[in-house]
Amino acid sequence: MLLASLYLPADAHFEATSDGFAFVFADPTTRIQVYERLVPLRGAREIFDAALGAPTTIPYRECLTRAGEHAALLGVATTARHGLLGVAYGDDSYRLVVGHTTDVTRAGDIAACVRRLTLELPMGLGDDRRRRYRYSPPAGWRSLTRHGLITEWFAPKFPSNPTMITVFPSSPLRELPSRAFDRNIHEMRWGGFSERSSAGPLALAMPQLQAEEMHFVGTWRDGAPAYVDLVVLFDTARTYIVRLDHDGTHTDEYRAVLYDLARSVQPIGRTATQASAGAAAARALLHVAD
Amino acid sequence: MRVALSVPSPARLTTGPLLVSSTDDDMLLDTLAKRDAEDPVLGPRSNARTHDGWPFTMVRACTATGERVAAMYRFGAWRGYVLVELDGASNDASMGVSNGEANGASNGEANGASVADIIAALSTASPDWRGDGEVHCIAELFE
Repeated sequence: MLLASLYLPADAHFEATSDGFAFVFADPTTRIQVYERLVPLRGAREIFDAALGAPTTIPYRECLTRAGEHAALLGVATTARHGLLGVAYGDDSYRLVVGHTTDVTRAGDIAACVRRLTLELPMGLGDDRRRRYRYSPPAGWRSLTRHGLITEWFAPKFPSNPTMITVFPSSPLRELPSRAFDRNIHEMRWGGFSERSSAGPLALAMPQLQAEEMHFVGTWRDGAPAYVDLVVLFDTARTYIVRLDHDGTHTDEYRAVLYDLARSVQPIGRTATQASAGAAAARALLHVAD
Repeated sequence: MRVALSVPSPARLTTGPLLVSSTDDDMLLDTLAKRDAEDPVLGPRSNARTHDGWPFTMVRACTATGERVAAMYRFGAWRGYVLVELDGASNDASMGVSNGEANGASNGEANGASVADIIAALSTASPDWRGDGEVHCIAELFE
């Protein structure tokens, strides 16, 4: 409640609910409702349609929260109602903020409050953690998640075509590529990989991050040939690793898929800097039980 | 989990949800094959692979009303099952199961489909191991 009260309009009172909280106004047609930790993850369009009670083609705006979490905002304006909906995604749950009013003179204030709750209210996840990031997945490949944040993409006709791309969560450390390569080859050896040859590190040209790659050739414990291509992307704050496993029969084709994915990686960012004393004080409150 | 699979008419297909193996696979497969059936008689299990290389285990069962083939596809800890039922098949030994044994191939047909057709269809299955509603990357949140 303490954090949420920072956003409470002067003419509203706070109301705790079983699934979050609400800002309640004297006018019963004006309300801001916040739903916390909703599961499972769903697409933004599906969430907005469910909140509105009907499918809608109103475009929403994709954005980032102050902590760099992915979010979306959708405005609604009809003759009867004005409102703004916001969704902010965590790793495995999301927050939904719904604000509405029939008083057109209040629409701007309500929308501003919803926007702040969506983009500024901390989700308590810790900014500096291993986390997913935006990229374009390979078209037509199926996927699975392992351990929550690792996603594996399987080429068509897998497993007879033993080709897959693994996308690891971004690390909050700016790790030198050489260390990332050493660590990955060490972990592969735990899995039974026996290295025969390697190439790199080689610099890779990427649009938004620095990158290097290495190529490994060897065998797995069962003797199956193993070709592993690692791409490590990095900036001053984070490291992003993607890995291609294949059998060497269509190397150029699948490396092209790997490079396309790597090129599409969007660095995890923030919408505003946190240099002000006010922001620092707000962060201190993060450690207070809410 | 979904399994893209076509079975010859008039066989009926039932697919199951994604399962994480926490029990005996063989027992689970047998239980599936006997589910809601009258006087089920199980045949032996057999292993095969789909055209894409997915391993699966299947078991045939003869019931009072027809025949069934239950199959379980595997990928690491994930399991997905299908049950194909054929009504009106006879208990002729040539059809498949008799006295608790299953013939390797069936010469009989029930209304245009044979158990052999069903087994052949099982090998064309294309499992999609994604659980219902799972989101695997951020791009999927904003499609």
